[in-house]
This record gives sequence, C-alpha cells and structure tokens, in this order.
Amino acid sequence: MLENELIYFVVLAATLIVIALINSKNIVVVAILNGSFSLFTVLLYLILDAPDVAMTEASIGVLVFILAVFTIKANYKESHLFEDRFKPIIFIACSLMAAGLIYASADLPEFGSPKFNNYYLLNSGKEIGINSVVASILGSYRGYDTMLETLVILIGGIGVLLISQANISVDNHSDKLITLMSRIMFPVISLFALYIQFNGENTPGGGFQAGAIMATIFATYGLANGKLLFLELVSLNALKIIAISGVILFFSVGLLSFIMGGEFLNYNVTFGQHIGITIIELGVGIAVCATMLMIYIGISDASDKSL
Amino acid sequence: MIEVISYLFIFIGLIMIITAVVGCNRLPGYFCKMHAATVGDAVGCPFVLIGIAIQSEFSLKIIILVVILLIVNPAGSYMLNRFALTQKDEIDNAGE
Amino acid sequence: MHLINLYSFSIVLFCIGLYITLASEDNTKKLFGLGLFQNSVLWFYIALGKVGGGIPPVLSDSTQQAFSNPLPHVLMLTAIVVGVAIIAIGFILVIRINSKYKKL
Repeated sequence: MLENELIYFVVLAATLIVIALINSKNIVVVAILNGSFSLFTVLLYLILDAPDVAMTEASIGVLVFILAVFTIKANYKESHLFEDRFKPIIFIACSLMAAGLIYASADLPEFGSPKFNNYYLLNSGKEIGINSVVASILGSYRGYDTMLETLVILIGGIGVLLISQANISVDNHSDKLITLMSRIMFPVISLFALYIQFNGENTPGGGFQAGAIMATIFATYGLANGKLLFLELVSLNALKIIAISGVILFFSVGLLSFIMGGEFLNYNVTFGQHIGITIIELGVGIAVCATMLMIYIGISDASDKSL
Repeated sequence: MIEVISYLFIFIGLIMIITAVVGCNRLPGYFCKMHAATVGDAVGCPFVLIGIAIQSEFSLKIIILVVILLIVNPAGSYMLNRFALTQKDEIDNAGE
Repeated sequence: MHLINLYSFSIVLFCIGLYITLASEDNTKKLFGLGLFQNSVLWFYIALGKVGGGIPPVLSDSTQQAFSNPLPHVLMLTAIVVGVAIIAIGFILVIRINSKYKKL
C-alpha cells in the first residue's frame, strides 16, 4: 500500500528532527525544530485518517511557537547547576523503560488490523443524524468530557493571567508593511475561522480548530500593530467575560435540559440534536479563542516587562 | 495533454525548492541564506500548487491559497530581515 | 519482526521526550521536551484507531466502507488543547523565574 511508504518517510523525518533536537544548544533552533516536528505530526495524522486532529494540531502549533518566541526573549542561561554525571544514569533509565514498554506492547493487535464496527459508527446516523461522527461523539455521546475540558482550558488561561500579573504598560513600535499585511489578512482568516466553526457537523472542523485560528489572527494583529492598537480592538476585561460566557453557554444548555424534565445534557428534550451540538460548538469556540488571547496577553506582557 | 503541463509545473516547482535548500546550506552569512530560502517560498510552492490546480480544473480553493501564500510569506521574511538589520553588529559574517 | 511498527516508535519518542525533560539545563528546553512527551502519546492513540484500507469517519451517501475508529480522535482532540494550556503555564512560570533571578 502506498500508505506504508508515506509512514516510513514521516518516521524517518521525525527521527532526524528529534536527534537534532536532543543535541542542539541554541534555544531558537530548538523552537524551530519543535515547529517542524509539529508539521510532520500533522502529516502523520492525515495518513492515519484523522483530519480533525490534524487541523487542531496545525492551528495549535502556530500558537505554541508564538508563545515560545516570547519566552526565548526573556531567557537567560543559569550558571552550570546541572551536573553532567547524571546524564548516563538518566539515559540508562529511559532505555530500560523503553525496552519494557515495547516488550509489553507485543500484546496489542496488529497495526491496521480491521476491528469490528463499533456502536458509534453504526448508530450515529440514526440517532443523531449529522455526517461527521467525530462531532457527534464530541457533542452528544461524550458531552461531559468536552464540557469539563473546556473548563480546564479556561483554568489554564486564568492561571497564566494570575501568574503574569498583566497590566499592559509597554508599547512596541510597528512597521508599515506588516501593519498593512495584518489588516489585509484579518477579514480573510476570520471568515475562514467562522466557516470551520459552523461546518463542524458535516466536514472535519468544530469549535477547537476555529477558536485557535481566530486567536492566531488576533495575535498577528497584536504583534504587527503594537499593544495600544491591540487594546483598542480587544480589552482584557472583555476577554475575561467572553471566555467565561463560553463555558456558561455550555453549562446552561445542560441545565435547560435538566429543567425541562430530562437528564443533564439530553438534547432530545429541548432542541434536538442538530441545534444542541451547534450551540455547544459555539460555546467551545468562543471559550478557546478568548482563552488563547488571554494567554497571549499574559505571556507577551510578562516577557516585555522582564527585559 | 493537460496532465503533461501540470506535471511540468510540479517538476519546475520541485527544482526551485531543491535550489532553495541547497542555497540555504551552501551560501555564507545570514542575508545570503535568507535570499536563497525565500526562493522556495515565493516561487517553488506556488508553482507546485498551480500544477495541482491545473489537474483539478482550477478549483477556487487552490487559487485563493496561492494568493494568500504570496501575500503572507514575503511579509514574514521582510519582518525577519528588518529585525536582523538592527542586530547587524551581533550577527557575525552577515554576508555583506 | 512484528514489534517494529508505529507503536514502538511512539514509545521511543515517549522516552526521548522524558530524557530531554530530565537531562537538559535550559528551562525552556525542558518545556519543549514536555511537549514532545505529550505529542508521542497522541501518536500512540491515533495509531491504535487506524483501520487498514479505511477512510476517515465522515458519513456520506456512498456505499459502506471500513471507517477508522472515531473514538481515539475525539479523546485526542481535547488532549491537544489541554496540552497547550499546560505548556502555556510552564512558559509563564519560566518567564517569571527568569525575571526574578536575572543577573544584570
């Protein structure tokens, strides 16, 4: 099968990148290698028939690189605290762990062996009726997981704001060409993010990907135009309210079903599955976008103040 | 006939990308390497994408993708180069 | 040997990520090792869900084929975004530590 050769290519490229990542001393090189490893991860997910996960990894990899740049700016090398004599011991311990886990993985079924069609694939068309099985599992069958994971993401954003103590006081200078480019790209990418958000039911897409892409274009606008113009576009208090309201939207859909006499998060009682899943994805998208922007403001402000 | 033209475009695009990689390795200094790397960005990738677009009957998605690529990538390289100019004393062998 | 497959490679990446996290001096490089550690777990789970000769799990009006298992995709979708939140908190801790103990 052609798929096997492509997997070999991806594995070879990932090996080379990881070997370079272990041995390099320059932290900027490590950040760029991390980004290229993320690219090959996206390629692997496409080969393994997972387009939803591939889109999420692609859009999140950009955000991690933007945050890493701010961390590298505020970096300084400590004195030589770590002693080199520990490294062989750690290497031996990790190799033993790898050998043990590989020996234990011999019981797994063979890679790519066909398993029986599980419950979700057989019954999702009749019970829920949307085309993307992943979105139906995410929104309806496993709705509790999604609700609490969105809450975890929000807690991460609140933690970053608390640790960084961001009150924006430093301004950057901006450049005319980058300003123009960011203003041209802003409506195009926002439209694309909205398209992915609302087409999450028929094609791969959904709330997580759309939130990450929207946050990327806002962060690009902020990087290009400086912090004062970025604050005229979004203010920190508005972001906090928007992020919390995304999570509350999710909870309130569940509470509405609870009030109307069914169980928590049972859409058959109130809206129907289509509308219920659309509202939930909207809540997730809003919460993820606002939280990523909160993280961006916190990290960029802490990094600029520490210089 | 259309397929031969599309394969020709893809082949030229791949040669441009190989040129960019070889140039980025062999040329000395930061600015020369950047000069070689953006060849792959601005010439190689659009040629490959136009080759694919010819085969799939000029679908609008690929044309929009080429336009976005030609707008965004040179702006990114411009930003990097402008920053490198301010650091000119610290980059050794800046390739002037 | 039937042990050389994608599962073993993701286990090797797991241990390499752990090694980078434990055995590097720079705090930022440790966080990149943590990211590699989390990414390798995702590789393992999505490789578990692959069915040979299958298509992505999107229903359409065509004839029935073998779909890939959609359950690992759903679990890993949220795992990616939660991983970003964890690494973001790691970054902000590193920045605050560096700004407090920086020698001029």
